[in-house]
Amino acid sequence: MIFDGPNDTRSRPSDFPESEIRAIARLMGSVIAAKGGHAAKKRRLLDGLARIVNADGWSWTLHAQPSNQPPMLLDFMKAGFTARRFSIYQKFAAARLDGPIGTVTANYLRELLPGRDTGFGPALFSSASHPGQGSSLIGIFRKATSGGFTNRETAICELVLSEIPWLHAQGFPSEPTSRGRGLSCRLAAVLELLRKGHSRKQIADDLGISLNTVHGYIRMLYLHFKVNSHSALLQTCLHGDPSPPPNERSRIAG
Amino acid sequence: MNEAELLAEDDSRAIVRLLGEVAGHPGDHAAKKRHLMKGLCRIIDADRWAWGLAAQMEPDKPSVHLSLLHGGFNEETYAAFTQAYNHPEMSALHAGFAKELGERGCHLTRLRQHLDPEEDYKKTAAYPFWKKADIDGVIMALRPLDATRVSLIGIYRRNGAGLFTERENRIAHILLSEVPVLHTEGWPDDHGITLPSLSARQRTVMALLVQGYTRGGIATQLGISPHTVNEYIKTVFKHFGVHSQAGLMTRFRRGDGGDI
Repeated sequence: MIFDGPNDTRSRPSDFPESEIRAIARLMGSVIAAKGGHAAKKRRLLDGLARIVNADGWSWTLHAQPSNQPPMLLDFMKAGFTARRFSIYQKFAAARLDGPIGTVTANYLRELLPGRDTGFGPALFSSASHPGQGSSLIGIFRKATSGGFTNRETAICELVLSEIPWLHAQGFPSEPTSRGRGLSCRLAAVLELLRKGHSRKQIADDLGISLNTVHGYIRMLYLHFKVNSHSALLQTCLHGDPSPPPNERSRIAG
Repeated sequence: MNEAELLAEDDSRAIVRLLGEVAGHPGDHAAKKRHLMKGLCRIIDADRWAWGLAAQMEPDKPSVHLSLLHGGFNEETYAAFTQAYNHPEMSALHAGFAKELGERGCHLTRLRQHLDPEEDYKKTAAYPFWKKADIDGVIMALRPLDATRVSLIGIYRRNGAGLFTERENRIAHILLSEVPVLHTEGWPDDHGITLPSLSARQRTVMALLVQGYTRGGIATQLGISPHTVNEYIKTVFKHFGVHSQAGLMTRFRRGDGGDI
């Protein structure tokens, strides 16, 4: 994984009030205590981070960037988006991957996406590159009518998102990811979404492909893993607990 | 602690990074504790650490605790450390801390300089053991778990390297006080509540047996005859109702799921 130094167009005080570090440490304590695998812990951490900085939503997207092709969505998690608004945002996220690595403050999503309504305004982004896999983007958002994130809130997000690499990754360092099993980008993406409990129709919508194409990919997955059924497929490649199935309108827990 | 205090950026980053690693660690609670302690020692330049349970913290009674997890010791320094913390003359020095813990009922982290500003411990018969354990700087963290258990952590620095500072104490406090699950989980079912009825020497022998020392090793480290060691061991086995060292070790590793 590659992080460049923080990309600053804003000044950032270098020290942190102890109360902020304690709040982050307390959140990490609850993540350590939480049951579940990587996805459940990522969700809990990002929900908690959003609470600390008074945000209304967040997203994590992972895109492959094959040469001469548009970026392909491999995996994602989100909170605070409707499905429709997320598909608008997701296309923007793909385009943003050529931007600077590190945390930047965006003014408003509607300035970056003129005329499109994601439901959100102020946003903070953190991107990372995963050699051999693709690029990830984490966004922290507030409703469109809200004031912008403060310097402190930005510093807190930058600290957490840059010092905990598994937030940007698809699994903990000790776990093999789907990609490492010799699958193509697209098959790995389908497998990951199946593991998370998405239906075939949802997968088709998420990846922007036809339902028939999804059927075809799933047949290829059965062949790859030498299984005959959906449950056998999930059993073969289950590592850690799957995250809860996505809601149409996920809300930040708690 | 003053809410307006600032933490240096490097320290802040190190704390968040370490907690992220512990959250992503694949092992059980004991493994996570070890990773946390190793990381903390790296951040504040500590050499050894021990994490255990205190069975007796009333200020007017001798303090009794049992170290279960540790790092940075060898066979000799660990045996010396066990004799040092079990030494009867250490009780008076712990009394103030135990009293404060009883009154405040919350997680406390203290430098040895706070607990023993006059360095009275150097005048006790326990001092040669602390020297032999190569321990000079000390940070102690205590967290009451319930009516009968206190989670107890010691962080130690070698002789001649200077004492721990307020900054290092604060880092240890933040890291250790915000992960309650590591304090409450992963301990054996036997919390050592019956330890106070053993003598200091019996407790020392028991602590070394639990860590896997041989009878010969215990005799050598304690400077007593193998016959005397065997007498102590018989008493300890009878006290806990076990018939072998393996039985004793199981008793104090059960509930952990893995190697202490």
